[in-house]
Amino acid sequence: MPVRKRIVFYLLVFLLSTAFLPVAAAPAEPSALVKIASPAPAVSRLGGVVVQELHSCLLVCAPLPVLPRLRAAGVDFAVLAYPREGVHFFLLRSPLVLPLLSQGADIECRLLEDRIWLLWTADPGFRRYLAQPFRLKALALSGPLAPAAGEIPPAPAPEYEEYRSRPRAARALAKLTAQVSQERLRSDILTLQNFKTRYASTAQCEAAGDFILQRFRQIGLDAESDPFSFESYYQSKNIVAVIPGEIAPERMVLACAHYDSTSNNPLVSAPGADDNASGTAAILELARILAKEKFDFSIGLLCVSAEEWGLYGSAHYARQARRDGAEIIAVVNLDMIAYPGDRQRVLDVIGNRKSEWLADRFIAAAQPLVGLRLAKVIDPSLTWSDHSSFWDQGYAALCGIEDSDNPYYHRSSDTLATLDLPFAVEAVQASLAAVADLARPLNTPAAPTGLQARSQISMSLFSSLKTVYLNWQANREQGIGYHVYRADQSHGPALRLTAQPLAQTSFKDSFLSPAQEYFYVLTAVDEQGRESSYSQEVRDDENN
Amino acid sequence: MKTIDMMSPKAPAFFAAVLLLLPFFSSPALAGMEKVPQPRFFIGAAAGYFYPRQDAFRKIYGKPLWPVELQLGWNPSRKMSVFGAVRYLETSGSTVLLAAQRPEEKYALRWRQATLRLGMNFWPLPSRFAPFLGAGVSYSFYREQWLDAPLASEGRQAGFFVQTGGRYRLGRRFHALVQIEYSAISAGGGSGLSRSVNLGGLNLSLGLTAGIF
Repeated sequence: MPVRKRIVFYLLVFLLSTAFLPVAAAPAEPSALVKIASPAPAVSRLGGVVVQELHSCLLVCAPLPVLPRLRAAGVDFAVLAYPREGVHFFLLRSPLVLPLLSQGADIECRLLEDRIWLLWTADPGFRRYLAQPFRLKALALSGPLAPAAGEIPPAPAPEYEEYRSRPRAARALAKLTAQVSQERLRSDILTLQNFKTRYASTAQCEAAGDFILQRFRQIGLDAESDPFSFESYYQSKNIVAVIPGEIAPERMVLACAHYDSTSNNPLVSAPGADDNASGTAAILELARILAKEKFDFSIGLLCVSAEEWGLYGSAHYARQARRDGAEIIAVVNLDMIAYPGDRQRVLDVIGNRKSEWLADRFIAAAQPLVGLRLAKVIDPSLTWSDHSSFWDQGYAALCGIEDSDNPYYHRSSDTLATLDLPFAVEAVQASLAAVADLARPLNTPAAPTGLQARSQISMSLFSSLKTVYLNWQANREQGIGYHVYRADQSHGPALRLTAQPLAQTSFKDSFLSPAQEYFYVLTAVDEQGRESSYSQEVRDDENN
Repeated sequence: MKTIDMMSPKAPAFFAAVLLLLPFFSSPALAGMEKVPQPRFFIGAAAGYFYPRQDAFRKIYGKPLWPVELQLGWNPSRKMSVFGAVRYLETSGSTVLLAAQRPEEKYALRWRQATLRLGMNFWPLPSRFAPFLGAGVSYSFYREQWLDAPLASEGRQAGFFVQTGGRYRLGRRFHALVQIEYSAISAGGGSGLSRSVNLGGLNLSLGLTAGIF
């Protein structure tokens, strides 16, 4: 073999062998997981990676050589664990003083804050040793995780104040929220409950995902399933649909909910009516109502799985979104929105510090339209649902959740019969108003009115041409232009005739065939290029 | 579709009568000059006024129309001549409106027409002023162009003509010519103004011929 070919051959072998090397879950170099009292702004600069921001502390993964630097910088920290291959780390929320059923299990726990534990184990079946109810969040110690503090999320639309002040926008939101149907919510919750269990990795959970996918498609949305694997052995899928934006489709408002469930006997019975068929049904209802409308920005509708296992579905989606550079303006996560309990009817709107503007905006858009009280809660320790995965990637996200302790939580008794559907309707209305408001609906000018058409035929000896004269009433808004569209048949496909919006309220369409009838519609266009819906159609000689 | 009526025949009939009577007013003293041998071939040129027979044509190209003509002829006998000619007419006009909403809308038009003509004249009374009767066939090439719009129509069409008039001998080789002619050139389908376009009409022309052999 010639030398050059031999070199190429060995190079290929080397490249292939590196491609098949297992991807390490743990940090490549020896590291320590440490707890640092927040705020600790120097951590990232000194080489540590913030894994999780909590109310009173930060969890930081730091290579061992970084620890002396932290100490030298005066950062007060405590080493919690030394991550190694095959060991998984979780945040565990348990109301119990001792969350473990058995002391003999191969599980280690350290209390971080009130009711919040750090748990690590190499046992994939560790959940059987945990006492219900508990909530888990899997921690990623390596990979492209953004700092928990995150980047500053994309600013809200600069013209927000002006937009919100328009009575038309408020009327539009009211019109949308009035469409929320309690019967549809009830029906969807029941359907999801009837899968018996939606515990991620079970066939029933996959069937529930198929049901959601089918519902999105029935509504007419472009929807797809996004499979992912978790904890090495298991697979599930997220279901995502998009309502494309009209003006800036690359910017997205994301509404999400997890559709998987769990219980004290998850493989057999986990109806999860409140947790979280209620949130999933809300997403389906949002899809049904919003799909008929037009928005400046895209609206993503995401139903994730494996939330109960540790937020795996949302973490998969959020990581991928960050990697792809997705411009997610805001995430509204709905998790348990149908059990108000005996207390005052309150829906908590949970955000971290970076998402506080989003919580404010949610409440500003929704509170005037609903009777339930929307309570802002800013606490980065509330990581127990899918919004937390988006926080980890630097996105602004919040969670809408009932402010009550549901006694049926994570139990086989979490069924439709225990729910308060009128409360759920209001929670969905609030979410719908907030999502629609964030995506900027109907921020387009009103369709022009008063369109009139007159036509005449100019004739020479052998040929003739039709000319159509259009005129209409000027819109009341300032800075409005107009586009003119023509179709060869009534309500047929229309061709836009104007390259740029017209400033005047008349238009002449020349050189037309006298033998053909033409039909015209108009749109109004504002200075940002937002276009109204069509005006009333007129035939070319309608006003002759 | 609106069709425009043809022209009233009164005016052309008057001109025709005048021309036919002209020979009877010619001077008898010049009659003896008929004995002078004449060249067998002649060339000629004529120009005159064209009055289209169709109202539509007149509405669109309403201004006076002045076609010009070049002839080449042969006199096989003293009482007969055969000629070939090419006649050219160019004019401009503007469109007319149907269902007018904006009367100010006009499109400029240009009309060009070249006609090849082959005819025969009969001279019943050869004299210094000799009246004639004639007839022939024509083949026209025409083009109507919209100057403000991407539109043009063109075609070619055969037709026929009859004519009468007289010529006045100015010398051994030269004659002055006056003639009136009726032509018909049916060009087929038109616009909404007329179902069928006819490019013919009455043509009153004056000309000069010169014998060459």
